[in-house]
Amino acid sequence: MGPAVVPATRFHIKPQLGLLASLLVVALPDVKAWIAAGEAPAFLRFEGPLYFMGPVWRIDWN
Amino acid sequence: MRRALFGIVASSVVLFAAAAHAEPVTVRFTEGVARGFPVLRSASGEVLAQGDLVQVARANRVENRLVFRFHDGSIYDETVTYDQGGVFTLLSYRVVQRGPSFPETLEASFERETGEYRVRYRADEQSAEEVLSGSFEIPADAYNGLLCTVLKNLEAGQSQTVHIVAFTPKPRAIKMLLSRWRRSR
Repeated sequence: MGPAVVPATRFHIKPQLGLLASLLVVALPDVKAWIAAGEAPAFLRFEGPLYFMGPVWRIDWN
Repeated sequence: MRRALFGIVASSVVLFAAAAHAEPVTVRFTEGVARGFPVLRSASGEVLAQGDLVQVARANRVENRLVFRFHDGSIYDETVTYDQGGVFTLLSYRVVQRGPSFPETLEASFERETGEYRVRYRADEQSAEEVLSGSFEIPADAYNGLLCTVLKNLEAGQSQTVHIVAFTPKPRAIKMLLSRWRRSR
């Protein structure tokens, strides 16, 4: 059984840092999430830190 | 040093972020009983941890627990209780992170009904454990552990601002903008 192609919507999750915080934090990694689109939306994948200023990790179903 | 920077940054977020408009997310798709086994990987694709997700729904009240057991023995254990009557409302939250995959050991929780929080925190192995507790005003749109649930419920083309409560180790609300990119994959 090959991998299925699932139509998905990709989301961007961005902390809204103020001026000072933006200067102190050189680069907060992008956080992304993929949600299966349609009448029954479902979580597909998450990419980002699991804790503040942590490394980018990926969560999915395999 | 890391902790000091963490606190400064979090404080700055609170001080300099634009005034937050607390707007809970409308429920379009109710959550039900679910069980899943997510995988946590590094950016390069290496499997770091196996997950176990258990979600139990009784009427409008849902409890969701996600545990990642890392190959190095670390644990990430997050429990969220929320209400889904009309809008998503986070009722209680608890997170435990410990082990070599995490720079700091943390056990933190809060409850909306009482407004109370409790944090057990250790900056590193050499540091003494700190225990903090007190009151905290939890934003109506705080969605710790629920971001992906919230994303499923956004209208097409809708962007949404919500909050995440970060533990620095004191709890602080951080504003997050959720927006669609484009259809892909």
